[in-house]
Amino acid sequence: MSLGISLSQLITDNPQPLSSGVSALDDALNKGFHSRSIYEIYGPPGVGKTKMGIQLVQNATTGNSERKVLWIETHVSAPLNLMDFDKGNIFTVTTNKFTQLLIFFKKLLEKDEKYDLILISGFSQLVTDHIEILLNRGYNFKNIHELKCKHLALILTEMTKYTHSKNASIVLLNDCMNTSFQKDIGNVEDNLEVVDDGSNFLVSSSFNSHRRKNTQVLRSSLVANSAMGNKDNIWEAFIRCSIGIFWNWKHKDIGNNRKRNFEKCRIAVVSDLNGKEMQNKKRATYKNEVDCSIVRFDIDESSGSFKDIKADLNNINFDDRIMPPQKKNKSGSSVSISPSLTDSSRQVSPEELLLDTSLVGSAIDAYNKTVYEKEPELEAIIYDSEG
Amino acid sequence: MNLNGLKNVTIWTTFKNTTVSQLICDFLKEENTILHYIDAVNSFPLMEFQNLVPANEDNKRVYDNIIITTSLNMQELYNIVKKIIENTEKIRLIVINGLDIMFRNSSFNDSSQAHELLKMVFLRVRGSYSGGKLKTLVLNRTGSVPVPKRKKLKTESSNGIYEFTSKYYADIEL
Repeated sequence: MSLGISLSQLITDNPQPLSSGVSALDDALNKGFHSRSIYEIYGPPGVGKTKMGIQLVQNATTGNSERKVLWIETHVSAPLNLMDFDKGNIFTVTTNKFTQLLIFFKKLLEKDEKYDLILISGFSQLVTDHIEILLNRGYNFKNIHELKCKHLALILTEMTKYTHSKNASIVLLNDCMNTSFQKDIGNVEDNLEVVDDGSNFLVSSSFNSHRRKNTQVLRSSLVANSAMGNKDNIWEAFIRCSIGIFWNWKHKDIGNNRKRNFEKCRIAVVSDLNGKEMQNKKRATYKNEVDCSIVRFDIDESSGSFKDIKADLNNINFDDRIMPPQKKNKSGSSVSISPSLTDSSRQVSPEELLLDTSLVGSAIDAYNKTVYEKEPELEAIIYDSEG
Repeated sequence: MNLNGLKNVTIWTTFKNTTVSQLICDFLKEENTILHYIDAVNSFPLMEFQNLVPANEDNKRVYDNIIITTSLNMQELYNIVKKIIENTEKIRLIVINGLDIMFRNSSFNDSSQAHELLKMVFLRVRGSYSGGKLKTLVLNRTGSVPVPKRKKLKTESSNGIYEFTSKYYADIEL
């Protein structure tokens, strides 16, 4: 049995971190995607998770003929047709069961073949299906969260073994889900007044008085599925960084004219899940300690790849954030706005903004400008409560 | 924490990456020392350490004397510790990060064996103190949760393992 390797040897053996193509995101990840690590990328449909995966594959294989990439496809085929570069070192494999994937990694570890980068698209869907299978087999619903955590820890242990023995990186491409999408999740987030740990959208819902006031949060589907609970730190310990990709409004000064500009860009919310502060604490209590970075980026029209749009807004101190009071719009759903927006000096009045919930993002922009007197930082994109 | 704060078995809860790096740096300044970093995840604070000790020829000895080992269950940890203890030439510091992960992974298979291995690991390191030549530092990455008095200690939870170790095997918890 080997006693390990020296740090000098480790530095020599380890390849350079893999660039995402977005320099601000690389900075947030400490120079990029490191070997011997597992990352998670999650976000709503169409936001560019697969595109980010393709970009990683391209950066891994271009200029290095020895680097091999394995794309594990689950319910959706690998997007080989979107890869307009040399695909000689890209391999694909299909698996549509959680247990199949577990055995696959056990077998892969025994083989001499080495993949420098492994992407698993739709990993969260495999987990969701697995939970459904367990429930259908008669497992107690009350214990399903613990079981999910155990099984995730099991498969992530195998993945960690692989990444450490082969100096590889694994990237999980996952969906996201609203945490209050189901009624029977119990008290998971009942005790939260505000969930603003930076890794999600915020929704304040008081549409129907008889309904429980939820703080609805978009989370990775590994967390927000039918096995929700408060022990996710069991498996999160294996994931180095979780990157949530969401939509946001671009910030353009609309000046005195009232022309509306609703161009969108993307933000990546990078959370260090391996950070000590994250572990074993309720979400509501670690919000001020979480190591979280926000990066803004978009697609470069000329090259078709992701690029930076301005200097990132890293290390936001969430302690400083103030949740604005609520006002009701015409439909009766409530959205959060700043009191300062009621000032007539604003170019667009909040009432006008609230007529159209799509304008709320701009309202928050203006709010942030007022509060911080600098470029807006993180915008909470607010949904209509029915949305 | 400084080197004098290190006992035979120390559990460190209030650490940060920078403070761990500083401690490692201070320990390796002494001649004839070697540090074993046993880890369940890829958590060695490389960036912070490189800020303190730049990776160049002058510091090659320091980088050579840090041995990083991956251990994902108690059996692996026991085997590694046993092997480290066999070599008594140098002054050694064993840093264990992710004990909760190792213990949990072993408990999935056999809970009683996981307990047995935990006991054997710490009895081994306690028995090999030999005048301060071997010290063990356990990093509690789960943070500290106060334990109510009279509450039975459970090793099932991630923090429970550190409480259990602290109560029965550690000399000090920081």
